[in-house]
Amino acid sequence: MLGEVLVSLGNGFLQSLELFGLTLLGGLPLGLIIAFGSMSKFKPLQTAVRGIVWVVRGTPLMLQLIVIYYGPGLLAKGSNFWGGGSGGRMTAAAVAFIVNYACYFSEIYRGGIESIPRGQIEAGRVLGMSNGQIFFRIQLKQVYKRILPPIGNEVITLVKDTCLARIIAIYELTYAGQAYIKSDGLIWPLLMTGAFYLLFSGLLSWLLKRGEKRLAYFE
Amino acid sequence: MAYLEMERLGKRFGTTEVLRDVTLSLDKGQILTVIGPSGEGKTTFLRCLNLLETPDTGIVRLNGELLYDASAIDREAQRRVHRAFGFVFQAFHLFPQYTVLENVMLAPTIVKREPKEPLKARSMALLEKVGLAQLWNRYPITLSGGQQQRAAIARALAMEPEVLCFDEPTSALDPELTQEVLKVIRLLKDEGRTMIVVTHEMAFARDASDVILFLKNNTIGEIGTPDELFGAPKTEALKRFLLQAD
Repeated sequence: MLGEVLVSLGNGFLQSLELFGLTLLGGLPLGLIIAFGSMSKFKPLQTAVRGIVWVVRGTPLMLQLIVIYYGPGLLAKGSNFWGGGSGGRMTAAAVAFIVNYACYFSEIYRGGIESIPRGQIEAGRVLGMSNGQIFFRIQLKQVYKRILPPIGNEVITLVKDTCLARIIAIYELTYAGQAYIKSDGLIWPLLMTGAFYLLFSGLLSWLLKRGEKRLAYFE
Repeated sequence: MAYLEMERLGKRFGTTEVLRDVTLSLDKGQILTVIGPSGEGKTTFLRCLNLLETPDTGIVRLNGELLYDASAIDREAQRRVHRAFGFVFQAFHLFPQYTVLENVMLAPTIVKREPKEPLKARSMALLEKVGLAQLWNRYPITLSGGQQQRAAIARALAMEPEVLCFDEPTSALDPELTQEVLKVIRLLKDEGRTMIVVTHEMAFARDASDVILFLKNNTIGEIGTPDELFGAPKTEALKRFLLQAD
């Protein structure tokens, strides 16, 4: 029994892990783009981007997940926007998660970028650097150091948020554990999923701490 | 013909005039110090000259060639100004994630695309000059204020500016550290560098400068040699300022 449960939970964990990885892969860069949009000096763009961030951060991820998965099919009757089967569901979930997390990341980036003292930018300017050089060669690493702890927080939250994907029938870890309540009347497989989450978030915390230590040599 | 000339440099923030009609010229190798009470335009003057603030009026020429005309400042003008002037800040503003040597080498590497090895030798020589050769591999956070400021001077020199500007370079430093920084500035003067120094160090202004500019009410209060300004101040404002500064 234990072996069977472990295989089943392992498969669920892989689904969770896939969603986790896709979200970071898409959300971290998209967040930076959104951050630049929300800091844009072009007011209409800034307002539009901040509006989107407000909506995305202000509504439940589960709601967004449902709308993104079912919305296109309802708008254009009969179309199969996301493609069939579990692949289509994972794509839809990844899109919802990426957009949602990118909005949170964007606010963290924005705070990080705005917290770099103006003197750093001016120092680059009087040395003849371009805006791009100032951002990539001077500001970025300082921003990176400042945002690592809050980004780490989001990453840990994301580990556990992946269980929301079950709402569109993705067989992720929690779903895999809960299945044993219905089929066999067992609760311990569900409790065991907790160990998966704990071990994985523990590993991530450790990696994040290491990252912070490596950046401790400057202020 | 004068080396550096500026005409009617001026700036207002909204309706407040923060700098008005500064016209002066400087010969090559001269050192101009700018003194005056706080809030009378010293720093604004230097920041406008360097286009860290955008002046509303004024024309600046170097070697007879136009650096900028305030009525039409574009990217090209900014590039010319930042190439021509070096700038040393009151609060140093070293890049914290880089070592001292990396701070010095960064701009020549990415702006001028200088090859690494000769640049490294040149940068080490600059650090030697400011007395930091031993500390080339240290991060700014581990340095004293005076050391940081000397590193910032080496960083500015690495771009080989025509004119080196200092905005209250010692105001953030203890008296001891102030002297080590002023010593470096004097050394640069002996090398024949053209410099503009905004300072509160009266003794330094008196014995190191060729021209002193006293800013009062956001414009030129008096301008002249140290002997003229310290020996025979013409205005009440300067007399009062010098008394207070003693």
